[in-house]
Amino acid sequence: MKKKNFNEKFNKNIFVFVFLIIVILFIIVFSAINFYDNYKRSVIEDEYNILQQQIILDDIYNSYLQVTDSNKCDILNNQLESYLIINDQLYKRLKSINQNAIVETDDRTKLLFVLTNIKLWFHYKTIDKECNLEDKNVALYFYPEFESFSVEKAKYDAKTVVFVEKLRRLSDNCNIHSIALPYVDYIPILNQMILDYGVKDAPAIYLNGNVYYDFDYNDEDFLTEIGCR
Amino acid sequence: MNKINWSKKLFFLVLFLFIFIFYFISIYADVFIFLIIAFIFLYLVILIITIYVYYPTIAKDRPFPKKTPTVAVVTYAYNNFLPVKRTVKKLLNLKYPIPYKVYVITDGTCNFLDDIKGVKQIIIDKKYFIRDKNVKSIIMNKGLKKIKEENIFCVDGDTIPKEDALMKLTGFLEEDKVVAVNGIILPENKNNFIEKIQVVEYNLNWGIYLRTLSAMNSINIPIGAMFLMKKKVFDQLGGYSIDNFVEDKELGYRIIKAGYKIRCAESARGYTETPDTFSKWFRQRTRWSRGELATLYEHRDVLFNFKYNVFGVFVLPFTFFVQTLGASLVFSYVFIYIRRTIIHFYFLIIEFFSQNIFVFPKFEILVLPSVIYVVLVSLIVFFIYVLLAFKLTGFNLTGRYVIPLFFFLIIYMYLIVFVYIVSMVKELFGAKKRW
Repeated sequence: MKKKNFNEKFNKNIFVFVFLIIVILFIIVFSAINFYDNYKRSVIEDEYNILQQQIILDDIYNSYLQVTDSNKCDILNNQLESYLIINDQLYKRLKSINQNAIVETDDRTKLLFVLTNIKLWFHYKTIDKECNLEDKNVALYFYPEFESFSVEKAKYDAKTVVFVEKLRRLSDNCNIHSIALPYVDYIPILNQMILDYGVKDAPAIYLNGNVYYDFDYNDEDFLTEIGCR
Repeated sequence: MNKINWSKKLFFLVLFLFIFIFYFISIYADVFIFLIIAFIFLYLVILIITIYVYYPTIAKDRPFPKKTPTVAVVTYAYNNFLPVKRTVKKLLNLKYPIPYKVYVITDGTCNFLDDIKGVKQIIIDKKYFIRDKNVKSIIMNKGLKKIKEENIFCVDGDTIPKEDALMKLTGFLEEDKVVAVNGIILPENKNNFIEKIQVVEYNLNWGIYLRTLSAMNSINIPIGAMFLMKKKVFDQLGGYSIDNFVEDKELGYRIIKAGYKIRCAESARGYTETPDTFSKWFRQRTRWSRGELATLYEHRDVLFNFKYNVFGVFVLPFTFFVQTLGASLVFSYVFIYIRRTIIHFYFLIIEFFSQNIFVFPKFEILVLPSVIYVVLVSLIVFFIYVLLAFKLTGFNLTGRYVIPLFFFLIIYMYLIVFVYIVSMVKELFGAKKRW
């Protein structure tokens, strides 16, 4: 930049120059954020796709094992265990993306997450029906969703924070895997499940045919009821 | 009975309502508000940095004039006897090529002045001290009428100029249209926490800000604590306003309106006493803010007026909007998050107690973490600004100033906003002015 002497007039182009610098700065910052978010999103979408493929493969494997092998339940059970662990990790990462992103995960990613989880849930149900998985409890965890801040959201956020902690302690004690789903009505299959399972509010868990909006993870009666004792 | 100035009340009422209407709108657009704040903040900081680079010599030493102008060194004493004695002694020892006189304008009660050789006392009768008027303006106007030198070097009784300050300032008056020059004023007392915060504030803001305004020919204040001015122009403009409590700022507006310029000399230093308690600080800043608002109202014709160039079209509106809009923006943004945090923790605590379970709270529920990216960029830019500002005043950020610096950046700004809002309310209701 050319240096100016004190007796020269003020160069008004500086105002435009500074404005452009800020515009460029904002473009760079937001592009970088967007790029990073998209990158994280695409990685997680890929992993959800892989999980979906594995579930489909497992279904095929199941069909094949029905006619060939007698220890298919052990094989399917082990595979299901790994899927649930993968699902749990993916859910945590998806939550982290939602919290860190400049924009929340878009509908495409969310739909992929919801549909994969529903598919995993049905896959578990099928195996449970065929193999009677007594040692494995899988629960559907419905969490509340709000668009923006409100007093109601704050109330539900507080409730959810405590509910999640209780669910985590229960899961550790009773080897329960949770499959997370949002409590929303705009995804038809999810809405149908919510109606069929009689879920009236969130946070809630659907376990062994019952819906629990609150529970005491130390209560013996409750633990017996869910098959933990 | 005083006549109520309804137009002034309306002016401040509109201003006040504007802030609160803006707040209610901003509740529903918090991220948008954040981006506006970030944009204004970045614009201001990058503008200052750009001007710093583009005009490197604007506040550097100028050659001393070939013909040395006569100068009167002037201070006043009517309510600040204690520091004046020391100031007067320092004023007698300034470097200047020709002899100069030191005048002390008083109400006749400063007996200690008789013991100091070489000081000329100008006594103003107390009958001229009009209640509810600016007494400093009254005595300075009356006293300065008796002075015949070409330039006046006005120094507050609690300010100590460096020996070479007068020499450094004089060269600037040679520039065409320049009629007044400021030095850089820095705090002298640096003992307690509130004083240290002001040390950070003066070093961080005042020098670089004045330098920037100088480059834009928009300094609108001959800083009363220490400035050099052409006596002829002071007389031509009619001296200080006795109705305004920041008489120096009001004079600055009239200097600009008359087509003159004020400059800043970055190597001319003066050291002033800053308030040592929060209540004194609050009183001083409220007086400044009220005076600034009153001056703005008085000279509202300057706002958006192309006749006054960058000052009328950019500096004044920008300063005005940063102080009003900025106040509302910062206030609303902070208020939004304080409200959210309170509500969030209220329900969380209720839930913890009712369920007898404790979970460490996650703050990402409250703040959108992506905002941190923009904050990070703003901090990097601000860091460059801080380096330049400290370089300009030669401030050494030692360990004892680290906590005051953070306090200044995080909390002090909100106190300034608070002072501004209080001042606005006081102007609106016409609260009595106190020195």
